[in-house]
Amino acid sequence: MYIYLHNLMKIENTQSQMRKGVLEYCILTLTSSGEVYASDIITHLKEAKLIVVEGTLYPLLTRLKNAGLLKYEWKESDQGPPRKYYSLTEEGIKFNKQLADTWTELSNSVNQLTNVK
Amino acid sequence: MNKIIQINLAGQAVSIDEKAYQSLSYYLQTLENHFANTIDGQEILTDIEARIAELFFGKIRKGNTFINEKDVAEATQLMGSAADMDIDDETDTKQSQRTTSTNNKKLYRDTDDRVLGGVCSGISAYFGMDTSVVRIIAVLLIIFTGIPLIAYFVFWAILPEASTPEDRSRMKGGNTTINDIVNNVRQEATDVARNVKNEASNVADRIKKNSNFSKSAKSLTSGIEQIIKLFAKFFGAGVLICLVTAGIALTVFLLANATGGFQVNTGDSGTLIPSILKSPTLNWIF
Repeated sequence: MYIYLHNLMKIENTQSQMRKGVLEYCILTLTSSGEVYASDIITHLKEAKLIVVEGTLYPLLTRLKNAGLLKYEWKESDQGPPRKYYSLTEEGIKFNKQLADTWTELSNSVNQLTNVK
Repeated sequence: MNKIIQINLAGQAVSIDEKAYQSLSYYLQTLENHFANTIDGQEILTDIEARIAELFFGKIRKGNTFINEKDVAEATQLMGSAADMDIDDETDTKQSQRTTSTNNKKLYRDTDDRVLGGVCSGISAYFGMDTSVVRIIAVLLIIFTGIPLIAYFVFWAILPEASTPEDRSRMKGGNTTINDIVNNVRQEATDVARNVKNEASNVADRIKKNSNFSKSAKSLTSGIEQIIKLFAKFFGAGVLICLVTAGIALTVFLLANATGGFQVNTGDSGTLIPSILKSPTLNWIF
C-alpha cells in the first residue's frame, strides 16, 4: 500500500519545493545587506514564515558558501565565542541580482495568470 | 537526583544534567548519522552545535545554573529533525527512501498494551502493523513451530521497556522496512567499531602513562560488553526477520490452504519462502 501512497502527489512536497527555491533567493537577499549573523537570518526568515525550524538554514548556508556565493568571517562577540558573519561574494551579488529579476518576472506571471479567471 | 556534567559543545563548556545530556547526544547522533554521507556534514553539524550552545547560554544568562531536559527539548524542537534539514535536489527518487529511513526508530516493549511482556505490541508498533495481527501470527507460530516461544522470552529479556514519552515516540517512529533494520544494525556496527577504537586508544594512552591499570581494564571490558551487545542485536534482528518472514509464509500458506487455492507439497515448501521474499507481498505488508 505504501508503494502507492509514495507515488501520489503530496501537497507538502510541492509546497516545500516551492519554498526551497525561494529560500535561497531570500537568504542571499538577507545577506546582501552586509555582514550578517546566522541567527539574524533565522529571525527574518521565521518572521516571514519561510522556515519553521532553524536547522533548515545551516545546510543551505553551507551549500551557498561552497557554491562561492557566500563567504564568512569569524568575528569576536561580546557574548561568548567568535561568530561566523556571512556576506555575499562578487559572484553572489551577481547571482542575487539575476534571481531578483527572475523572481519579479515569475511573480508577475503568476499574478497575471491567477487574476485571469 | 540527577548528576550534572560538563560537556564541550562547539568549543564551549556547558553544565548539563545527565538526562538532558543523553537526549542531546541522541539528537546530535541522529543528525550525525543523517549528514554522515555528505561532504560538508561536519561543518553543518558544528554550526548547529554552536547554535544550540548559544541557545543554552541564553538560558544560563536568564539564571539557570545548568541545562535541563526541558531546555534540550526546546532547543531540539527549534532546530528541527534531521528530515527537516534536507535540501537535496534529487527529491523524487530520494523522497520515498527518506520517508522510510528515519533511523531514530527503536524496538521496545510496549508495556501499556501487553498480554505478557508487551513484545508483540512493541513489534507491531515498530512495523506499524495491527497488534492483534502480530499476536495471532506469534500464537500460530508458537503452536506450529514452537521456536518463537524461546524467541519471545529472548525479546522479553533483551528489549527495553518503553517507559518515557520519548521512548514511545521512538517506538512508533516512521515507516520501517527491512532495509531500515539492516541500516540500523550497520550503523550500530560502525558506532561500536568507533567506540572500541576510541577505547583501545584510551587504553593505550593510559598504559603509556603508566597510570591506574584497573581503570583501563574496566574500559576495555566496556568495549567487550558493547561487542556482546552488538552480537545480541544482530541475533535479535536475525530472529526478528525470520519470525516475520515465517509468519507471512505461514499466513499465506494457511490462507491458501483454507481457500484451497493451491497445493504445496513438501518438495515445493523449500522454494516457497524465497519466492515470497521476492514478491511484492512483503513490501505491501510493511
